[in-house]
This record gives sequence, structure tokens and C-alpha cells, in this order.
Amino acid sequence: MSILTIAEAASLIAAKKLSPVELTRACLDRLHATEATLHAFVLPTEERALADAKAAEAAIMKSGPSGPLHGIPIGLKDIVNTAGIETTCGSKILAGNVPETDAACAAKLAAAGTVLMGKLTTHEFADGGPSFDLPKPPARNPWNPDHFTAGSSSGTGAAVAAGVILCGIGTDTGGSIRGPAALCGIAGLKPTYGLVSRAGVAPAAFSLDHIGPMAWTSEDCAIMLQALAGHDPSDPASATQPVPDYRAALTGELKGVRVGVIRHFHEDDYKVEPAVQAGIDHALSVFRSLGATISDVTVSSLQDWHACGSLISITERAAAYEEWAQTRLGDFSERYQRRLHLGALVSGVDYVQAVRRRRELRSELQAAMRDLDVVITAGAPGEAPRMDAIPKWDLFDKPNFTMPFNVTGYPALCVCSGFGPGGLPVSTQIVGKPFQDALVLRVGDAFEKATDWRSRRPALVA
Amino acid sequence: MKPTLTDPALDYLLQSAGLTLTDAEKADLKSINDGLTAMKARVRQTRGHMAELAHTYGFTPEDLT
Repeated sequence: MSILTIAEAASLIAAKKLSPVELTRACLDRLHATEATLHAFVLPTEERALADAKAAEAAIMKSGPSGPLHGIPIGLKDIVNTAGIETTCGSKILAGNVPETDAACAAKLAAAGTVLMGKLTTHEFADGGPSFDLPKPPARNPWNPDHFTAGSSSGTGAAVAAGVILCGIGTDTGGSIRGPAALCGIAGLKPTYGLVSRAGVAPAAFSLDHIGPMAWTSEDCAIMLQALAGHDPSDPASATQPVPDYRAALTGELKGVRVGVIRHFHEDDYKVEPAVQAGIDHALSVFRSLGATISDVTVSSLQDWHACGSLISITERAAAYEEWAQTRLGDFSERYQRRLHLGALVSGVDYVQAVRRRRELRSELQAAMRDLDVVITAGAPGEAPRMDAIPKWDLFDKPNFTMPFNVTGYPALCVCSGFGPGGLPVSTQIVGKPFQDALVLRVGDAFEKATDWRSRRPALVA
Repeated sequence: MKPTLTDPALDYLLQSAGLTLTDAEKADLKSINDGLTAMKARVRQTRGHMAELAHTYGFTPEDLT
């Protein structure tokens, strides 16, 4: 069976031309064929997957699918609590931890009738990878397994790109959905802060943490977001905004959409590789051809946004894991230990100044977007680097193109916009105003449908 | 003046944080202090009165009764 998107599979399932069991078996076959290379799963749940698929099939035969996710194989990042299934956050610290209840996002996807294929590889507690001293090896990029997936939703990126799952949950504190989406050539949406409940998901940095969809296309992200979005009183940061019909917003045209380009981020502040620049330039020409208007926009330097988000992230992480840092530091990977060490060097005053700066930066982007609908920049600076080329202190190596939109909480989507000379994907990032996630997905979907980048899969599974 | 991170100062900070590091780990941590100091400078630019933490309490009807 060829690899399907959610939209394609749901259409076939609704027409009773594809059974969820058949689809799940095809995904399990792909898992068996690729897992020794990709390490995308910390815990495959094959029995659960087949049980879910049989239950979905029975329900669909009786009364039709409950929605487009009914019978669709998915995966959950291993920082998402799953009732009765070990959840380790990729760490020795939580070995043997079996939650009693599902995280809100896991429960919502289960209620939508999805098929759980397993728990997906993550950087330890969603930060600091790749690490080679964890209970499980780091995930590898399906386009070239010698190369990095980015992280921390590394397994989700690898498994979606390889077609082992049709979609999965990622989490994003500084780019952990969009980074793997960019380097693995898929679509990944960091929704507006508060749109998707964080309840039952291990924190990385409270005020920057987002839960969101990762899938092959923007349309599939829209389908997944429909199931995930909505107020949850068990998440103190949960928003109360109404949830629109995300898929209905995907009209395929961009007439009148005002696109701003934060050109200085990727051309001056940190110059991206030529393939990334070409991808962005091509995206702009496609947007223009679909009826959008394009203009440049200027905000503070990328380095300012990176510094602000990094200081907040360092401090909030140190607070979240203070007790284990003091009592079990040696049980973390070397990379994560270094992240925790940093907390000692950031004072309370440093943190407050960073949070004050965040307020200014948010106001700045709000003003810059007053006459715009979306802004775009790079998703990542280039093709995926080799696994052995990731600096020990990567936080200080180069600024991060995704962090600005964790600092603001604005919705941001990475889509594949081409391939580099190494045959690995490159990405463009599309950012909207708060709770305009539907428009962001509409722009991504229109771009994907107007180009042929979605027709290419990694040779490993093509 | 750029602050320097002396060994006694680093020991104090680590002790305050309850962290126990080896000498090699301490040296490693000191090696990035310039990078961290540069980040801290970037969040200390001139700012207006709106740059507060802006904590909102989100009082509910139950709080007000």
C-alpha cells in the first residue's frame, strides 16, 4: 500500500474502500522495516494498535466513521501521559512510570477514534538532544539516517516522514514541532499559546510550551487540530476562544491575503543556506500567484528574540526540574545536565528582565502585523546537519528561527519548500496573529497544493 | 564592564542552586559564560512603562462573591 495522507485515508475509509485494520497493518509493516534504522519509537504499541484498528473497523462498519481521524494510525511523543502505557520522557528518571490517565491531547485523539501505534522518541524531557546516553537511541532522519531530525519531537518527525504514522503529537517550547517538521520535510503547527491543552504533558518551560499537530500536509494538521483545540480547565493557560472549522478554511486561494516577510531574520541576522532562501523566494512567488500581496517587515534582531526566549526557557526548566537536578542529576543525559547547570547562572533579575523584554517584543510584532495577515521567514537555517555535527552547547551556536513565535505565542507552521543539494528538505515558516491558526493553515495548504513538494517521500520508504 | 565568573562565584551559584558538579563540568559551564552574558545584555535594553510582567489574575465570578 502506498503511503496515504489522513485526508486520503479518511476518504477511502468513509467509502469503505480501505479498512482501518488494513491501513494499520501497512503502517506496522513500515514500522518493522524502518525502526532499526530510524529509532522513531521508544515504545511501539502493536497490540494496542491492532485492537484500536479492529474497534474502529467494527464501529465504522456499523455506523460509518465518526470523523476523519477514525481508524487513523498515530503516535504520541513520549512526554505525553498515556494511561497504562509507560511514559518516560525519554529519561532514566522516569523508567517504569505508568500514568493512570491520558493527557488531554491523548484522550482527545483516542476519542476521535485514532489508532495508537506507540510512544515516539523525544529528546530527554523535550530538550537538549541528540543524546547517546539515554535508555533509547536518538531518532534519525528518514531522508538520510546519518543526519539529525532536530528535536525535541524527533520521533514524530521521523515517523511521519517515513509514513509509519499518518500524524503525531509534538510539543514546542522553542521550535520542537517546527524544527523536526523542517528537517524531516513534513508540516508541523505550533498552535496559538493556550489553544491546545497541556494537561498531562511534561513541562519544558511553562510559559513557552505548546502542544500541536505534525503530519505530512497542512490539511492533515488542520484535521488533527480540529480534534485537539478547545478550552480545558485542567490547563491553567488554556484559552477560551471558540474553535473554528479549520479544514473548511482551506480554500486553496490567497486572494487579498497580506503577507509580510521578516527578511532580515534569514538574510542578515543569520544568513540561511541558498536552498532555504530559494525555497522562501519560491514560496513568495507562489503566494503572489495565488492572489496574496507581499511586503517586507522589520522587527528586532533574531538574536534578541533568541536571547529572550532562551533565558526564559533556561529558568523555567530549572524550576520545573529543580528537585531531580538536586537529587538525581547524574541520571539525566550529559546534554540535559548541561541545560540544568545553566539555571544556576541565570538570576531572578535576569529572568524578570527577559519577561519584560518579551512583553516589548510581543508589542513589536503586534504593531508590525497591524496591516498584515501572516509573516514568513525560514523554518531552519539549512538542511539537516549530520548527527555527529551538533555542537555541545547548541544554544549558543546560532539563533533559532522558531523561538520568536514561542516568545509571542503566535501560531506558526513549517512547511516543506524544497530540497537542498544533499537531498534533504528545507522549510518555510508561516506565522499568523493569535487564534488565526486557520489562516496559517490555509496559506500552508494553498502552497502545498500549488507545488509538488508533497509528492516526494524518503527513498527509505518510497 | 563585562562581569567575570570567578571560581568562588561559580561555586557559590552552584551551591545556591543545590547542584554538585565535577571540576570538568564547572570548566565547561564557565566556557559559555560569555555567551550567556551576551544574552542577558540583549534583554536589558531601554524599555517603556508597558514592559511589566503583566500578570493577570483571571478572577472568576466565584472570586468576586
